Amino acid sequence: MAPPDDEEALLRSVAIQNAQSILAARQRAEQELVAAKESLELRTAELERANELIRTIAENAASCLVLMDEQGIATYVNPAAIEETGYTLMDFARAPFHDVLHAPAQCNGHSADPCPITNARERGLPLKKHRDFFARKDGSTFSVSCSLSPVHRDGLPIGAVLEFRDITDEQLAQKSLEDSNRRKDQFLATLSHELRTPMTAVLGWARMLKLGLSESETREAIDAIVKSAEVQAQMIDDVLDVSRIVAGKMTFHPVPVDIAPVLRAAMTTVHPAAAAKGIEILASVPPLLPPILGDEGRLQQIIWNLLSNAVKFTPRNGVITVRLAHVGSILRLTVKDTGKGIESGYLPHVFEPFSQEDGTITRAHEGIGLGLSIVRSLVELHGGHIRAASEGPGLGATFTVEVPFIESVRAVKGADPQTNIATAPPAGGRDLPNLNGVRILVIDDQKFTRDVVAAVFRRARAEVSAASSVREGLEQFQAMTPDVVVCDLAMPEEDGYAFVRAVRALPSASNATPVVALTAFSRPEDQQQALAAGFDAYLRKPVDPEELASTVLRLTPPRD
Amino acid sequence: MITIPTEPIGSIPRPLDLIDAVTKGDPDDRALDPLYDAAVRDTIARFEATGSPVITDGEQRKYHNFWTYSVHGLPNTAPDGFKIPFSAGHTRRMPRLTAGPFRYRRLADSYLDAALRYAHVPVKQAVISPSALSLMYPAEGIEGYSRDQFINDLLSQHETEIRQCLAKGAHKVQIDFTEGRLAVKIDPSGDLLTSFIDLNNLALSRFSAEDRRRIGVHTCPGSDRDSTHSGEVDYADLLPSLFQLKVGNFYIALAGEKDRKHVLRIIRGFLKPDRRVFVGVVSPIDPHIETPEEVRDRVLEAAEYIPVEQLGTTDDCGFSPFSDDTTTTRDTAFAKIRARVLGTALAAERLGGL
Repeated sequence: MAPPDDEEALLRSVAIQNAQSILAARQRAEQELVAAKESLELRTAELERANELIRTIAENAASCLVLMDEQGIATYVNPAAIEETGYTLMDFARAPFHDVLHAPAQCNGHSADPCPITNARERGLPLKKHRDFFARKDGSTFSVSCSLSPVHRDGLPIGAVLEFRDITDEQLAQKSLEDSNRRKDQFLATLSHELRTPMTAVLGWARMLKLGLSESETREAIDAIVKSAEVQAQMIDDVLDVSRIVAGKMTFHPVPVDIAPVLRAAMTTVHPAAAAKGIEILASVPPLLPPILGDEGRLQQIIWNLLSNAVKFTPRNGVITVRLAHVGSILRLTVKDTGKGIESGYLPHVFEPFSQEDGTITRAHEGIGLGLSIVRSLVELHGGHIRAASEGPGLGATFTVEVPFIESVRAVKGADPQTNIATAPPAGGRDLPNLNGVRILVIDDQKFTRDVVAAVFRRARAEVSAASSVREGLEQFQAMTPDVVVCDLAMPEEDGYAFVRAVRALPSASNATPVVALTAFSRPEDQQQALAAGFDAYLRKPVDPEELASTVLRLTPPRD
Repeated sequence: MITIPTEPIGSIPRPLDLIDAVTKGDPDDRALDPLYDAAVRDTIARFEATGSPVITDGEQRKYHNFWTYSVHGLPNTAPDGFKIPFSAGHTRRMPRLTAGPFRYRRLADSYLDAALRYAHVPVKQAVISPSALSLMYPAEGIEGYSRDQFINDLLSQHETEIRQCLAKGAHKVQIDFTEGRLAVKIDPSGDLLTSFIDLNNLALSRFSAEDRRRIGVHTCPGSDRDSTHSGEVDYADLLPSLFQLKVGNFYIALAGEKDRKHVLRIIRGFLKPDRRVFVGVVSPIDPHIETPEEVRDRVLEAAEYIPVEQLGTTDDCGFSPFSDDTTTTRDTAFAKIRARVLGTALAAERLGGL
């Protein structure tokens, strides 16, 4: 039975009316679609810009980047990775990343466990700063630090980004730094030992003197104390020199220098030590050597160090040969000994600071391993260079220094090389200058320093008064009106600068009383500062008694 | 080896005790839950026993029918909507919307929840098309609730229902579009069909291509009390428009057609690539239980027109789209389904051996 016609007509009517609404809905949907499309286009453009930015970053990154899919096949490799590994994009695309880069290297190093990189990739876990080995196409392997960042979609890993970089150089630098630190540690241990060793002699003999010794024992004690103190002073000078070299503040005052007298002075200095071991020093100095442009003190330091080294390492009754030679425009100094020689493996390190061939506690030779390092720096300051050679253990060593001559000594007006080679005669064996009747005020907060300085002046027959502070010193200054004052710089409460300012500010004529600074501050700038502040002379601790007395004598006003 | 997918359409005749209980009372009465539950469990067990790789819950809880289950009992409806005439002489009547807003009273994913508790194989879910429900809005309109608003609400409700079914894991979501062929019968000009297609496509446009691969459309001439509402309409007037629908699957009644080759030729002419056609190989309104061999031959016949990779089999229609239809027994329905499954496998075997 068919439905009534009016039912069908009504249904058609509804359908037609619906069609109009459907059309309206479709138009709305189309408008929304257009809007969505425009939005999508904008978003696509943004994504394209972001992709371009990411690609630019990846293409120019110093680190190697590999983007891989869920099977570990590379889908993008940046130029750094291609350059580093030598593999092409096709090489990467043929097999999983692991088979290309890792397996041929040291992946078998993880044979007991799953490869950490593959494990992280398969599990979709991050891996940070993992250290491993990768292989290049040429078969070489290299150390890498790598990170793996998983890429997820809907919570499932769909790939990963691997970032890696060659850290071979970094590891070498780290090892070098560790070696350097180890040498510094060793140096500090050595320095501590070497400073304590002479201190033992000083304290030991000093305590024995306190107990009372025979005349001969007293002389022996004094000699030992003096020599030990000199050794300590030398060590401290060396450490300070290294500090200046490292800081680039090594002072250097070049003038034309005749090298022969400098050599002789250095030989004179080491002669007692050589003589004590029966070592013969043979010198060969050609006549009429041109002068060189240099700092006389530093040149003597160079030669003294090389000679001292040779004496130290040459066994009893050995021979040291010193030779000066004129080689073209170069002065060549050769110091050759018949000593223990140098291991070939140690030769490249012989001039490194804190370096000693035998760093063990049982080593046979003293020293803190700075001398040759200082020598090299000083030679380089003179525009020269130094090298060491040895045929091997037991076959002696040869140190060769080459520095340029001044092309024409006549061009340097007023330079008289001979005036620069005078060396101070040894203090020992002479009596002190006569300070009879000179009133000297000694100010130092350290009792032992105060006492020894006063003892020197008393030995020189001066009248000595001592004070332990600036305040006390000023009181005594007023009371005794000294001819000369010897004043420490660093003292508690008020320093030596305060004293000299106070004296110079006095209204009386005594404000011109000479004041000598005696200090352990031994840098050149310390000297400049002291003289600028009103001190009349500057002496470094430890001071030679003769130098101390001579300085005071020089400053003592003439007597009526 | 060739596999031809085979899926049911949906409904299975309800157990008589359930029909009896529902007839006497309110189908939403919670006291009926044990009966519903037993019916779903039994249906799924018997469905799985047929070997059907994809099953349904037999629409045991779709009351009263596939067309009005979502709006049955809405307070803003009246029972005097359009009548659907069947060739057996009876009619089925839709509710009429009396006021806005339009909202579903129940969504088909609630049936899926129950089915998935018992199923061991994939479950598909049938939903009613927006075009079918669009006929609820009266010709004279509703004061304060425009037709545009209604269409908009209808599309949103339909979209929600499908999305929830997909999200819960429906193997497929099948949109029942039985009114397509009816539309051609009522309006031979095709305008009514075109508006239905447009409306359904508006809804389908809201889904991604991936979603649409899991969505299908079912068309048939109706099936109620062993009769149709539009069996006399030539598929040639329907299928070209039907294939414009933005879905990945078409479930087309074919077994009951007088000239299947004619229909298959039309399908071949209008089927787009990347679409699959599930042709009906058993007829629910035919009391004869097809043998597997008969089914096999129907599949092989279809395979002559449709590429095997785009071919699937199905039932011509649900076995009981209206819940009170007892003209087909549950045993018959499952026997027909079993024949479909076996016959499809035989055909696949034959095609694989070619």
